[in-house]
Amino acid sequence: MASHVPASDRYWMRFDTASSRNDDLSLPKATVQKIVGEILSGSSGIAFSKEARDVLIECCVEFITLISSEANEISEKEAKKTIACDHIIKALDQLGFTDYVPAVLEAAAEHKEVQKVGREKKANKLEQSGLSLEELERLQQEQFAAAAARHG
Amino acid sequence: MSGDDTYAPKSPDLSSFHSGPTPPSEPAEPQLFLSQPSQPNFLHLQSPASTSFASAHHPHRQAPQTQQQYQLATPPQAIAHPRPTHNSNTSQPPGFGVGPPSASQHEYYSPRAASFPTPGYSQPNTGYPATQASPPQQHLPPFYQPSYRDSFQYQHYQHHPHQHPHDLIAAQAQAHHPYDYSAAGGAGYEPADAMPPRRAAAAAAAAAVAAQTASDTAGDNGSLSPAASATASAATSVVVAAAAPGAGAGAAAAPPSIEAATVKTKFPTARIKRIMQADEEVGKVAQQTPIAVGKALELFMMALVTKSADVARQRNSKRVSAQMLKQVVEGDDQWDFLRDIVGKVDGDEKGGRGAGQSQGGGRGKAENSDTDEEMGSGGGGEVAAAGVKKKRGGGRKKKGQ
Repeated sequence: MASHVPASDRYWMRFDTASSRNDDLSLPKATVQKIVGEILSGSSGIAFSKEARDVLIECCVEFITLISSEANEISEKEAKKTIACDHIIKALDQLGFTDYVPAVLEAAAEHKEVQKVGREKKANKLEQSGLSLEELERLQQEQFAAAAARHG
Repeated sequence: MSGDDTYAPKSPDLSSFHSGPTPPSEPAEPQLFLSQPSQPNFLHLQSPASTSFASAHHPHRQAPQTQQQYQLATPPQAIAHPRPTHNSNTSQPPGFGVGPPSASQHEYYSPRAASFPTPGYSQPNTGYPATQASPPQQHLPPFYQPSYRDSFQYQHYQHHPHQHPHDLIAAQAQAHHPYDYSAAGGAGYEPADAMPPRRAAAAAAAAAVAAQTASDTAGDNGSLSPAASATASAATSVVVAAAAPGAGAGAAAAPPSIEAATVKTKFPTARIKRIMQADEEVGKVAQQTPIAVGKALELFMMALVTKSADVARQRNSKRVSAQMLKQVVEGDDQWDFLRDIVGKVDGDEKGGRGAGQSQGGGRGKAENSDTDEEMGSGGGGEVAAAGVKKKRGGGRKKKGQ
């Protein structure tokens, strides 16, 4: 049923049911303002008015909603429960934002890389502990036992 | 106190150590990878240059997945001439590109995005300089391999080279666009600029290692692959090619600041995720998804903001007003999904949407305090409305919480 309702209305409906979370479902104004400033930093002295910024924020939210509902449909078609990056890409493609795809892929890959680096650090942490896995396991068991005895 | 000691570190610390059995293998990765380039995920870690090189000259060692991709997705004509182009590329002076690097980058922009420099776009070609030299399967940027197994997308992109060439820039360049190719060659040199220094340095180092191993294997089993005969000579030239990004790494500090000038602030991913999931139909969302959406949103904003700034300039105005934004949105069908939002701009009371819903007023009030006054006067009838409404809104908020 909800699919018959325009995305924008669905967006606003949320506020009717949970008006207290109003701000959470929009984008932070300061951040948007900052990004706008960064985008416009090249074009001499043009600024965004407050009203324009507010409208822009609404547009952004609408954009997110549009993309995610399209991606959701795609993921459902593929019988997936989780919306993956792939679905976003396909959604962008289908909605006519094909030219965003490369940069989005790039960003996703970059993020993956960053995560990998994080994991590497963890691995290093294990190495830096200077203990073997067996030793660490024994240590953990000891502490489990101690905790159990304490709360026993 | 001793109790606390034993209690506190109990699980989190040690369990993080314990979840480690797999991670420890990661430091050993480079060697692992070079000998069996089968884990697509590691492609991210490894520098693109080395991966493409290693696999370029040892097709028989390709992981099954990559081969599958290769068969499904690669254009046959690209297979035909990998080596000649390779040689011509490496023998060219680095800056040989037909157009200046900046021009070549603009090539990749879509008409819509052309007005702003998007740093990310230059990365695919710049990040993988050696890719141009390697057999076609390597023209997929590494991150393509896990996500595009089905090759559907890939082929799709192939058919629209002008819309999204960045992905497959090298492959298309070889297959279809001599001009693009040489331009990409130039970019391959120059754009170490777009590569983060860390990555560029890694690329150079790893490529050197790869070249070494490649020449080793060439000596050991010369008949291993068709490319093996050329490997020895190619190895040296690739080292030269790899040196370019390495050298660029020094200068990399400046160019990234250019891309930083566009947008360095990111949207909060948690917020994006929440907005996505506010739609009841949307269930789980992968960790990467909000990041992808955030990037798309960034591009979307760029387009919208730049265009409305253009309008402002045309009107000799220094401020972008909501009306200008409206004009932009209504001027392009791509943004027709925004018409509802923009439709309320010109001082109307938002009656259309508000009336459709029982508590629409509550929404408007809490959302835009700026437009409250407009609503009060425009809505008519309620002279004292503004104050009362605000009070009511506050009350409701408390209830909500």
